[in-house]
Amino acid sequence: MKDFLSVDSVTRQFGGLRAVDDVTFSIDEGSLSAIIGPNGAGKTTMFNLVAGTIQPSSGQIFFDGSRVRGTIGASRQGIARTFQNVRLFREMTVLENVLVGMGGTGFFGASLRLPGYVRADRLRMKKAQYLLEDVGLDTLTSSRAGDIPFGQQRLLEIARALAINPKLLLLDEPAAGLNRTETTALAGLIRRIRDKGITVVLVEHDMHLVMNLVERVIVLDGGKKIAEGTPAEVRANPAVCEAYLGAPKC
Amino acid sequence: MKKFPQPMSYARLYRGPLVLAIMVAALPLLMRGQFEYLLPLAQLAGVYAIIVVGLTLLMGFTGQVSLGHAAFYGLGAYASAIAVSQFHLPMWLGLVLSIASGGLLAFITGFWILRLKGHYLALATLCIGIITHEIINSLSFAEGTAEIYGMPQMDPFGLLSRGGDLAGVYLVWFFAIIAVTWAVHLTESPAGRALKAVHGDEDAAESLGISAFGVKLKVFVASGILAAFAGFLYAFVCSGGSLTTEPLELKVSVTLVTMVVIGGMGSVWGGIAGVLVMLGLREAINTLGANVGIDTARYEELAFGLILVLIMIFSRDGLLPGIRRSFGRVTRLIGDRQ
Repeated sequence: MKDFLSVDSVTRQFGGLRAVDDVTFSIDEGSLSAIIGPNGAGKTTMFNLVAGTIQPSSGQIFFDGSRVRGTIGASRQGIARTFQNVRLFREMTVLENVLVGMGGTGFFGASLRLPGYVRADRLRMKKAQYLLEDVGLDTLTSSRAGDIPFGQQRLLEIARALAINPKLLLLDEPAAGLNRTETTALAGLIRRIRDKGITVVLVEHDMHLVMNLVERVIVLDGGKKIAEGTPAEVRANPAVCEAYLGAPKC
Repeated sequence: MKKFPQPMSYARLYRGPLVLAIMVAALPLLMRGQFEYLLPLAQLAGVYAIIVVGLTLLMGFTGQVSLGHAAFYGLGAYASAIAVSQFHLPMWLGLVLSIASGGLLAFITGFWILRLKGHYLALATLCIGIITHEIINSLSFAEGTAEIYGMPQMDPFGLLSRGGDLAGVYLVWFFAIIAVTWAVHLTESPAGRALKAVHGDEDAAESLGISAFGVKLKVFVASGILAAFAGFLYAFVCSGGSLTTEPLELKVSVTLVTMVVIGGMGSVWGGIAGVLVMLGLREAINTLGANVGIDTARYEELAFGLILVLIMIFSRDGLLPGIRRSFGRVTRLIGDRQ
């Protein structure tokens, strides 16, 4: 059986730097995993590779039976993502941000605006409203996205990613800049998303969040995979402690 | 029952175009007697309105600057004028050729330059304008110049020969209002949201499955077609039968961008307001100068520059949003008094 997401000896080189160096791992459907590692470990590069934003210098990435090619291709395959430094459409409303990913963007239908077209849009708005309810932003639908507090912008970005009906959701440091309460709420949200059957992979610095939330951890250091396993296994791994603290014991 | 957000209703959607149509229909009340000489200006306003609609979608909504839209406008005018006056083709074929040439030029150039961003794109579009101007300028028709004289004028069902300039105004604005309505349809739809998303963040838009390049190209071609169509109307309604390369001049591109910016790029109505303000101002300055006895042609640019600076200082997002804000302030003031 083919894996849901398989990263097969992928290397990505930026000039002389091997940001990701011969990394292999696979993610099961419906799982909740994290990629961790110290700064400069190649986590975000790995993420951009899976999301199709950059291409591997060598190696292959397969998702759901076909190769990942390009950002648009990846999103059509059902890979959604958020960004490390929130990238919303700041000038648009909260609702519009979610609606962008829901399709129907052809010019022809829009030009005619027949009743059927408007009905389809009404349906999208209903769905967007439900998505915003899920993340707790349903009272802010008509606010300008750039105006809402940072913590809620992160949630909105997740809602926007969910709008494309993804099979795989990639969260790039979703807890960065959030306080304890917000992080706890975020953990709950991520669990709910997984319970809907969406596979979730996150890159995260917040160890507390990672260790309590995910089932599987992949540890990168210097572009290489140094460990993989359950949070408990990884925590007990001397190589991981070495990478994080410079000492073989934590 | 639970309330959900709704798409804009047809009633609200068509309110703007309807008001505009009523304003145009009421023009004869304003432009009669000694003011009848303003009718050709009203025709030109309609022509500009059509171009500005496309340019607002491109610049205001999608965030792509074009300093070369005179190229599409002029090409549209020339393609149809050459077809009709030199090859004696029927006028509807001239129209088809005009639209096709504008769309094709936009597609070919857009395909190469729309990957550029910001200043680089502005520079590239500037070049399109200049190159197109040079090429058409080098053609020779009347006495070795690029000017075309004695073109037939448009006269559908004999309306224009009977109705005169006013009929021409109605004809041009009929199409302008269709263009505006189309643009309003577009902006209040998923397609319009895609434009704004590409403006906001191209990478984020692509992560949601929207091809930023594809969207930009579509809008660029649409705006090119609108400008070319406006060129056709200019050649066969406004030009009086003689066409020079004036529509292709850089000045026209700059004027068009200015109209979009001073009116307010956030909505199609801003562009329309920009057209009316710019053309109205020019006429006012000239009339004033003629009455006082000053040759205003020399000061026209100066006055424009000054007004532009003032608008940018006091209402940076354009005239229309500024007016809306002032209205809000006034109504609040009145509300507070009571």
